[in-house]
Amino acid sequence: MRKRLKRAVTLLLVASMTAGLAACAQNDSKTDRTAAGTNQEQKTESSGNPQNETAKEEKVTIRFSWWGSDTRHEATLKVMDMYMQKHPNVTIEGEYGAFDSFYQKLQTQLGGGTEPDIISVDYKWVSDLTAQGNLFVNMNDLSERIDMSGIDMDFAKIYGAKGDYLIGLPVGVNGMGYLYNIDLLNQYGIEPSDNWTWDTLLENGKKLQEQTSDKHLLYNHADHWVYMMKAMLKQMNGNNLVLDDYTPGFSVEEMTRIFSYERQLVESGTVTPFAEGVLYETVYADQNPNWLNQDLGIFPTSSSLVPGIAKASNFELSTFRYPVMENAVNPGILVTPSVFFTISANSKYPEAAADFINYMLNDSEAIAVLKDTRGIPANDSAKQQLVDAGVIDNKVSAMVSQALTGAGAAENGPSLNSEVLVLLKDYVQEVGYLQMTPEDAAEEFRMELVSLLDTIKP
Amino acid sequence: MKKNDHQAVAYLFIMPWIIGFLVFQLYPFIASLIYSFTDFSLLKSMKFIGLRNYIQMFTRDRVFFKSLWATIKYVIIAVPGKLVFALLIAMILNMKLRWINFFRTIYYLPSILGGSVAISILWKFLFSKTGTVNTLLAHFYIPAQDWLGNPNLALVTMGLLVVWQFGSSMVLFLAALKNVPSELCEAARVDGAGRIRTFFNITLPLLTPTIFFNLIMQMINAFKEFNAPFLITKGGPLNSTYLYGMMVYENAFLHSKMGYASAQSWILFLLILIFTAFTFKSSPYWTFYEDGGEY
Repeated sequence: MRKRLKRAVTLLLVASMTAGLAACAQNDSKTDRTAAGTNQEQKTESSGNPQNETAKEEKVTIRFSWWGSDTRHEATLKVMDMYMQKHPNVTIEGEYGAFDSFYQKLQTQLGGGTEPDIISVDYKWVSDLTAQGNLFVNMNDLSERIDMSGIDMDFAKIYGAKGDYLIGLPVGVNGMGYLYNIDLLNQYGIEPSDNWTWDTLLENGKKLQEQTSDKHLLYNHADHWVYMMKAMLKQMNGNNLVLDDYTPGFSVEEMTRIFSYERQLVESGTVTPFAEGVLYETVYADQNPNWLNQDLGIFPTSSSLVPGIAKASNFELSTFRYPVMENAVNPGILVTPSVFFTISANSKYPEAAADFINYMLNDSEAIAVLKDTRGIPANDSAKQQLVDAGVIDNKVSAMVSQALTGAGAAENGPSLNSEVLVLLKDYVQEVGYLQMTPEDAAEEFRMELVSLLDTIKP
Repeated sequence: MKKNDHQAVAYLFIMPWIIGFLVFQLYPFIASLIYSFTDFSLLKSMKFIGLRNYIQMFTRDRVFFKSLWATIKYVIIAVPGKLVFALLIAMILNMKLRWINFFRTIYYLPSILGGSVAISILWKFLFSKTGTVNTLLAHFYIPAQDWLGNPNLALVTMGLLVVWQFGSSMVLFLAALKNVPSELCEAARVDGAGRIRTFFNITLPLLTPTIFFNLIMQMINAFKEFNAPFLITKGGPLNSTYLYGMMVYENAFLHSKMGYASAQSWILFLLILIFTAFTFKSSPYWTFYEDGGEY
C-alpha cells in the first residue's frame, strides 16, 4: 500500500516536470488565448476612453529594445511610463543594455523569432539585415500612423533603405568629431580649431609628448581606427573602403600612406601605445581611468556618445571638427543616423508599436524628456523645440554642426560588412604593434580583402 | 509483469534527465553536424553546400590556424598549471590544522564563483599597466609589464586566471589524498623514507587515477574556453588570445555564419576526441590502481 502511494507520488512529480517542459513550447498559443480573453472584457469597459481607436481596445504588451548609457536609459524609461499612463491598455517592456554585443543578441532573437516589437538598429547593420529578407515592417507603409513630415526622408533612405523598402526611421543625427579636455590642451599649449589636418594632429601629439611622456593626445580606440582610415581614404580619393561592386576602393600605395600615418601616430606617442591601450580599446572614454585622470587629450567620437562621457568626466570638455587633409577630394567626416527605430515583421501589434514610435518622435512632452540622448533629433520640429528650450548639450550640437561642414559621402553596405571590418582591425593591430611595415600590411591587407570579398559577394 | 512495472518507474525517474539530454544535447549535436554542411545564417533559408565550409576552413581562413595554435598553447599552459596548483592546495588542506574545514570552504569558493564575469573583470584590473600586480612587483624592482597588452604574455596571463579556478580538481585530489592508506606511508617512514620520497613513491602513484580523470576533464574545458578571452581581451592583442571558442562565437554571432561555425565546432570536437583518446591510450603506462587496474 505504502509502496503504491510512493509510486503514485513519483509519477505525479515526473509528470509535472515533463509538463513544465512542454509548457515552454506551448507558451505562444497560450498567450494568444489570454490576450483574446482580456480583449473581450476590455471592450465592455473601455468605451469612455477618447484616445485613438486601435490602441484602446486591446490589452497590448510591446517590447522595446535599445542600447546606450544611463542618461539614455533613464530618459527612455520615463517616456515609456508617460506613454503607459496615457494608454492604460498598453504595457511597454524595455530591454536595454550596452552597445557591446547588442547586435549578436539581436541576431539570435531574429533567428529564433523572439525579437522585440520595437528594435533599435544601427546604420552599420542595415545592409546585412536587409540582405536577409524583410525582417522588419516597411516604414513607408506606416506613413499614416507615424508623422514623418519633420524627418529628412532622403537622409533616412541613404542609410536605411533598400530600394522601396525602408527598415526604420532615423531618430537622431550623429556626427563624428573630436571631444577634448579643455584644461589639458590649454596647459600644454595645444590650440584646438576646426581646421586641423592630419599633420596638425601629429605635430600637437609630439608637442604634448615632449612636455610630458605619460600623457597622450589621442585615445587609442579599436573602432576609431576604422573610422579614421575610411575618412582618410575618402579624403584621398573619394572612395569607400569597398566599392559597390565588391572590389577594394584603394590601391596598395594609398593604403600604405594610411598605415604609415598610423605608425607615425604610434611612434610619436600621439596615441596611447597599443599594448597599454588594449584594455580600453573597446570601451568608451567614460570607462577609461586614463581619460578620467586627465591623461588623454582627445576622444574621437560620435556626437551621441558625448552626453554620457561628459557626465562621467569631472572636467570641462569641448569639441572641434574632425581632421580633414588639405585638398581633400571628399571631406569624409561621418554623418549618420544615430539609430533607427524599426518594427519587427513578427510583431503582433505593429499599430501600437508605430503609435509609440510616433509618440517618441513627435510628441512634445516626450521630446522634452528624451532630449538629445539619441543625438540631435532627426525630426526638425523636435530639434527646434529643444533648441528653443535651450536643452541641447552645446557640445553635441557643436559636434554635429562641425561635422556637417565636412560631411562625407555615405557609407555603402560592403564597407560595413563585419568581416571586412575585422580584417582591417587585424591589420591595424599588425601595424600598431610594429609587427609589420606599412608597405607589407597594405599589400597583404588588399590581397586578403580581395579574397574575402570573393566569399561574401552576393 | 511486475518487473516491467518497476522498470517503467525507473525510466520515469530519469525522464527529466533524458528529456534534457535529448533536447539540449543530442538535438543540437546532430543539428550542428547537419548545419556544418550548409550555409545556415540564422535569418536566411539555408542550402546544402557539401564540404565547402570544411574546405574553406583549411584553405582560406586566415585566422583558423592561428586560433588553433593559440588554443593548443593555452591548453599546454593552463591544464598542467591548474593540476599542480590544485594538488598543492589539496595537500595543504589535507594537513591536520585547526579550522581546517573553514579553510577548505574558503579555498573552494573561487570555483563556485567560477569563471564568472566579475572575476574576469577583476583580473583585468589586477593585470593592467597600473594594476595591483605591477605595483607589487615594483617593490621587488621588477619593471612593470603589459600583462594583457603584450602579445607574448597575454596568453600566459589568461592561463593564470584559470589556474586560480582550481576548486573542483582540488576537491577530487583532497578526496584521493584521504584515501591514501596511512599504513603504507607509515611503513615507508619506518623503512627510512623521507617526506619527499614518500610523496613521490607512494602518494603520487596512488593519486594517478585522479590525476588522469582531472587531466581529461580540464583538458576538455580548456579547449572550450570562452569566458576569459571574451571578457578580458576580446581575442587581442594581435589575435594572440583568440581562442577557438571565441572564433566559433564570432563566426556564429558576429558574422552570422552559423553553418561555418558549426563546422568549426565539429573540428574542435574531433580535436578533443583525439587528445582524449591519446590520453586514454597512454594511461596504462602511468596510472596505477591499488587493485591492479581492472577497470
